Amino acid sequence: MHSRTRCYLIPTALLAAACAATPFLNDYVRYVATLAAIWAVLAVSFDVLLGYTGYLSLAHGALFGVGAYAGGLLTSRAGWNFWLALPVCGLIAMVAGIIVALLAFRTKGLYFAVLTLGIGLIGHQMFFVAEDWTGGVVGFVGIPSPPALPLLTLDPAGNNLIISLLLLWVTYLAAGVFVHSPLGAASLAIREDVVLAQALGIRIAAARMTAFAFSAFFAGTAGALFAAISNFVAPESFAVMTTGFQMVVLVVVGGMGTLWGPILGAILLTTLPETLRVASNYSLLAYGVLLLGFMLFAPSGIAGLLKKAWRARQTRAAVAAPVARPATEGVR
Amino acid sequence: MLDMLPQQLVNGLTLGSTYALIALGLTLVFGVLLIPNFAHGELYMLGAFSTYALVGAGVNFWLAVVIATVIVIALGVVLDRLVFQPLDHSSSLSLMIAALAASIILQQTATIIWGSEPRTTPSPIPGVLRMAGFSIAYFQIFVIALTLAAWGGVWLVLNRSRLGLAIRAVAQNKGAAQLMGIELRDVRLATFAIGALLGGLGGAILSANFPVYPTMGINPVLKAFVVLVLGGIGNLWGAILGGLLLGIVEVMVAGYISSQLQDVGTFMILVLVLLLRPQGLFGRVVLER
Repeated sequence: MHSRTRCYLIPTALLAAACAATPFLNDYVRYVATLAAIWAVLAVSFDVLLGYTGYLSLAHGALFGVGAYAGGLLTSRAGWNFWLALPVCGLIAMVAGIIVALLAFRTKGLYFAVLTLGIGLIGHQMFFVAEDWTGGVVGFVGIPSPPALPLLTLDPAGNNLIISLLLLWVTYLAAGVFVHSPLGAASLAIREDVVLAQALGIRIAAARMTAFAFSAFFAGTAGALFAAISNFVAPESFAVMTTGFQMVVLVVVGGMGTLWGPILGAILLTTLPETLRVASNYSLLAYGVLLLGFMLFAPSGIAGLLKKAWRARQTRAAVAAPVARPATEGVR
Repeated sequence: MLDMLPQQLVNGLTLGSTYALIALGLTLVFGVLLIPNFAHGELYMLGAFSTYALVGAGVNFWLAVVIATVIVIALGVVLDRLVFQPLDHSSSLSLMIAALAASIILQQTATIIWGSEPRTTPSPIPGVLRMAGFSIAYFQIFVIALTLAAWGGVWLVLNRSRLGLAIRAVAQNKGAAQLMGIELRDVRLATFAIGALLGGLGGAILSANFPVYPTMGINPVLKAFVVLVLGGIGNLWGAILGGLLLGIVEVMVAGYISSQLQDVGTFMILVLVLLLRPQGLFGRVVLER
């Protein structure tokens, strides 16, 4: 039980530390950190699908959009409270996700990717078509900002950051619960060998559907939060080749099949272009190069590299005393 | 309403022949090497852009098509060497993600070189053939003929040459093919080169028919994957028939229902086929996995 408790304690401690640091950051850093946290929510929940079940979905950019537009409609037009709208947007995206999944899980491997890519493209197109609801090309303007958190007296940028961190914390813990549940174990079995898993009597349909619904739910809440923080959304944010693709990059670069790796991926890939001041034209190219580089040379991502370095270090520590052996790898 | 039908059919055939042309290269590479080459669309795009650039530099269109095709073949071989060969023993998920990455890298590089605004190349065969119920540009007749010729060419290579025999052997059983003394590397190179040739040639020719821009490859390659599902993977004839069928259905949906639903119609077909007949519409899969 010890390591299980640690799973919950470390993120909680990190959340507390980040919240405590918030008042001391300037608005720009807060904004970048807020974006990184939203991307991390997307990456962690997407990894539950990609990293744990091995299904590559390219429809999640559109599901993120469903959440964003639902958030905009509910809070600005229907006048809902943000805290009520947030989970409802997650549920709406989840229902959309389940419909997608019912179709897409008829296929596997490449066809799953192609089918979800197609659904993602259609979804993106629908945001243009359903002009009355989404504002079409012009975008959806006037989405109210998230309300101030009680007990905290923060300016809007700090408030946004803490709400995003809270959502990330909830996502991470929920993902931990899912991954450690029997359904999570079944998901891993699906990733390793679907046929074998079926032959062993593992109920693969329930496991992969739950994983898909989970990722869709949090993509939806991330979308609603993104909409509230930006006050404005337009279809280009939800294209397959932008958001849908970036989720894959974050998870692969961070490390598929670990929950903390994608968070590192999201932080790295959000802050890097900002700090390096790369022209935005080059950022997708850089994402592509990073994705390919990691796929070729470090398929287990940053998390894999860190784990390897950590293990090498431990082995060295154990070996160092009796034998003075030259270090060969993993030195940083 | 119905008097438009012949024209719609002709439009569908022309659109469908472009899908078929792209699907041909994709189905070959996927059927033989099991590489889900998302970047096939970018090879098509690069064929189009190379032709555009060469024609802009004053080169004759047909010469430009030849040069562009050669450039794309070289690029395709490099792509295989750099991206897909190192992942030869990895899971299909790794191959898919790598292909997606390659596709984005090529798109973005093209955006940086040429910008994202659409460009056009004048058609080398101007003029329109007018018949009683429909009219068709001469160039479009040429595209349909080219698609059929490409299919015939690939069929001849696969069924009437030693190389084709080797390719088919590898597609059926890699291990056994190697035991028979077939050099896998050569077959791989040849297959990928033919695939790239078909993609590059398609792009080069169609640059005179469609606007040329960096993301122009996404939609056709997606349609080509749908065609693969319709026709059965590795089935050349299925690729042609599937492409034509898809083109006709799309034009019909756009013409009689709504042009905004054109792509939705495509994916409804994809879903229906996957649900009802996963092995493809046209008979059994030739290269079954």
